[in-house]
Amino acid sequence: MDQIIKSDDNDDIKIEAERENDSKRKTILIADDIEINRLILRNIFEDEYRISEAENGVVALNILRNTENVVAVLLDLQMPELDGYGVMAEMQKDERLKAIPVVIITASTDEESQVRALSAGAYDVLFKPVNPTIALHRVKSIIARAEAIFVREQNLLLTKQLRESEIDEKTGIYTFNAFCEKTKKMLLANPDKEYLILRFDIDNFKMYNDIFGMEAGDILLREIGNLCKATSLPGMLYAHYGADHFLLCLESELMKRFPQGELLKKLASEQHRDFDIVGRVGVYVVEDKSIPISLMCDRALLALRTTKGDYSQRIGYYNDDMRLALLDEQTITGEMIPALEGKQFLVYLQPQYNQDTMTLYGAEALVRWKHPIKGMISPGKFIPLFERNGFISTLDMYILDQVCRLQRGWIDSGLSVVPVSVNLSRRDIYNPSLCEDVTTILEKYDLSPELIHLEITESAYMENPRLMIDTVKTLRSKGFHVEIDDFGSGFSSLNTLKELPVDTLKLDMKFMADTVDNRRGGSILSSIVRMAHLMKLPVIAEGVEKKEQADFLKSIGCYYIQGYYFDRPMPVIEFEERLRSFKPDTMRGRRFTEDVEGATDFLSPSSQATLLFNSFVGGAGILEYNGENVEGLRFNDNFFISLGISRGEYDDKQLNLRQRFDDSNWQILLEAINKAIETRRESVCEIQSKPLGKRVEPIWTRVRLRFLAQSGTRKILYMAVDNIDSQMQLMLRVEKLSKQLEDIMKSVPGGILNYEYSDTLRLTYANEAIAEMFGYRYKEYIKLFSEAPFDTVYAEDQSETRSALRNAVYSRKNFVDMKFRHVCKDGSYHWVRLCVRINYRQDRTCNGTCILMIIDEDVIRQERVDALVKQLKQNNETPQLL
Amino acid sequence: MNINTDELKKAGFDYEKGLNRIGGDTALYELLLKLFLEQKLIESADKALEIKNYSELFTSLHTIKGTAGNLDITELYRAACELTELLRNNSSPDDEKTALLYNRVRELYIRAENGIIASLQQ
Repeated sequence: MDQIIKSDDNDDIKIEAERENDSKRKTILIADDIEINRLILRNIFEDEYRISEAENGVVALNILRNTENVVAVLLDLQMPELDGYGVMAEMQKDERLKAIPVVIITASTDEESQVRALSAGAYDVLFKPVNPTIALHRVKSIIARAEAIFVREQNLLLTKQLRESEIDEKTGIYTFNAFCEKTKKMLLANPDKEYLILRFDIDNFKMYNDIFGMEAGDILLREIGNLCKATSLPGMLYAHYGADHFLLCLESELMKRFPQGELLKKLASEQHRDFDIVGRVGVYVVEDKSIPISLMCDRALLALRTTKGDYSQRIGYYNDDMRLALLDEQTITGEMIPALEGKQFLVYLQPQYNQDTMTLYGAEALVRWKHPIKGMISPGKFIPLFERNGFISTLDMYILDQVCRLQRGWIDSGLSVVPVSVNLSRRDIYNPSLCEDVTTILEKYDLSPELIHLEITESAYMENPRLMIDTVKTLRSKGFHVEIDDFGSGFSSLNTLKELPVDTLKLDMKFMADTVDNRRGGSILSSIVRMAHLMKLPVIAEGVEKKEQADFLKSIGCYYIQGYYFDRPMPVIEFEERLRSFKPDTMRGRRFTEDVEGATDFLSPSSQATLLFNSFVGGAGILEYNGENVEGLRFNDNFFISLGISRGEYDDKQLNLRQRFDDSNWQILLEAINKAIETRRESVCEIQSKPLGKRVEPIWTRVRLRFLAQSGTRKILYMAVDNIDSQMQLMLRVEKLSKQLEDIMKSVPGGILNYEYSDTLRLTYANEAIAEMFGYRYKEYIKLFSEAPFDTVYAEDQSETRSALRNAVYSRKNFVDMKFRHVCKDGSYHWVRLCVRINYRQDRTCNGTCILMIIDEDVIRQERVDALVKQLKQNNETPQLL
Repeated sequence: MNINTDELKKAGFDYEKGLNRIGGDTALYELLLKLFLEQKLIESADKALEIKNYSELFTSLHTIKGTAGNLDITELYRAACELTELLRNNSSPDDEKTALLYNRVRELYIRAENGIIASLQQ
């Protein structure tokens, strides 16, 4: 019975599930008044589709209107109530039903009814009697086609909707077009209010995309969109212009509450912390409401562009100068080619000196534009423009040609020449034939490449590292000397130095502003010089304007100097004077100083300290402590030998020494480190580190630490390590033995004592039994008598015991046996015998271990015996007397 | 249930073709035969002819044609086709010709009905 019910339940569930499943299946509606026909069609399709049947057109339409997933209608033309044509006509009126394909199944084979059916909206016509296979395939392909059309139409619709949409899909705020429209309306509606157009973007957004991926970039844009929406107030309009550009129109009064700074701060904190998200804003104050909104946005862009490349200035305001500057630029662009042809571009040369020997190292070629009407045009005015419009490449080659011509002339006139540096712009890096172009020019003047140095700015490396490396390698392979210009201006200069094989570094003092006054800047500068020297790279400091700068540079070992302090950029004729009056530098940049500051530099791989460090007999290491973690900067070979491991086994531990210790040992180490830092003296600790390599036992080491240097919050310490594993094992064994001994001593019935004598007598050990013997508690006994052991002696016996002791100490007797009365807590006493064994003696100090026994009974017995003897003596005497 | 296929064949059914059309499902085939009997399609045709409503006659014959086609009653299907072609778009066809063709349809229809009855009685 139970089983039956159960199976019923199961069936119910199954039926329910099937029904559920069934309703989701694609449905074919068969409309035919003759049941036979319906059954035959049903038989064809019911394996693959859910079938609905209608015996006339009215029922068919009813079903169609109330069923969601009808994928096809198999329609008989001739039906009562409403025929096939009627059904199709109704379906055409309904948006949804219109899309459902209709296949006419008819007995009429005449063309006219076929045409009529097709023109009424039927997809196909099949004739009765139907061939089942053909019918199935036709209907199936019709359904598939209809579905494809539906999907495509949906997509088209969506695209159209998006195109017409005012909302930007990526960010959820207005599109540019919508922004222009809405802003225009807002400005017109409020003629008395003043408005601002703000345009903001994110610094290095492209790089953000490169690092974190397009998807993350899109998320960032979306979040900015969300924040815009969240911070929007009445009188504000936000839009996404495209890429990372956003627009904001707001009333001037709201500017104070402009949330952009906060907005980006918020983003920066929520997003990747290792990427500094910096926004920049260009502001256009709407003065002329009649100009198109898009032009206002362009002006805001001009303002935005002025903030680029300046990390201190994040907001730029539009002013008409910018527009004029733009016009100016256009004028310059128009004049540049005639200027080149008219030889208006002149080469100026700025000498470079070795300030130690005051010899001429070389010169940098600089361009000047001598305009026939405007006079000298500042390079700052045209170089950035030429870099943008690409003319710089032509100009660079022109200058190179001029310099080569000069060199040739000087050589021919017998002057001793020095190398001249020519600037290559980052544009040139992209020129695939750069190397050939340069070589061709040199060949034209029959010059050897070492007379021309090529300067490439470091920022070109950041722009396209791979290309820059390849270009530099090719140029160097042809014998050119490549100088990296503006070194230190990039944000990854160390990387540049590592990857880029250059010949000289040029440090621009203007990037090192305040360096001389500022200690930190100074130490950066000296580090760069030192690092460069370690790499055997000459360093030229340019932009040196003051004596202090020159002196400082000299003090850190930077001898090659270019700057106004020595000489300004000068016309060729003047430079020829310099060529005549100065000797060429013979060191050719290869003058390096070792150990510039005279500091013990454990970190440089070549210093003497390192040599000592490496050959130090014990294990040693250099640690860096940042207040939390301890990092091993270097370890010598003996360090690993003393720990019994290989360097390789320690590889992954070195950067995080914390993992080498359990909590308590780590604390001990940290305490020792802190102590070494505070006291500036050596501190020592003995710690146990976790097993390493093949060892299963922990390693005991004695660590001596000494503070070396501090760099910010990071402290550098020297560490010497002794493996004290065997000592510690021994100590542990001694400890164990002592414990055993103590246990034995505790359980001995007699008293065991240890005295130390050094001017005074001290009780340094007493077993527990002794206290009990005289009615004291142990602690009480120790407290009372450890500093005054003679107090245990009965007053009458004290002087005797003291002299016995003194005798023992001075007579060099190693064994003393004493008898005295030992006081009890209750005021009574016991007779005791104290056997002292002196086991240590030095000068006036000695140590004795004693056994103490109560001898009351012996004493009493002795007294009795004494009394008896006395009595006997008396008895003996009496007869004599008698 | 057994169907006497000989009786059906005698009555003008192409049994094999018809069974094939429905995937060899004999139970369904039998059901379709019974439905043919129940429908009495010929009655509405008779009425239409009686009152000379040719469009009504066309409709009825069209239905007979479709059904006969689906059941593969070959001769009946052909006769019905012939008559529907005569009546198509023709409100006043030749009475005599119509009667002649109709009698042929009727005869074949009755033969089919009888054939079904005979085949199912076995």
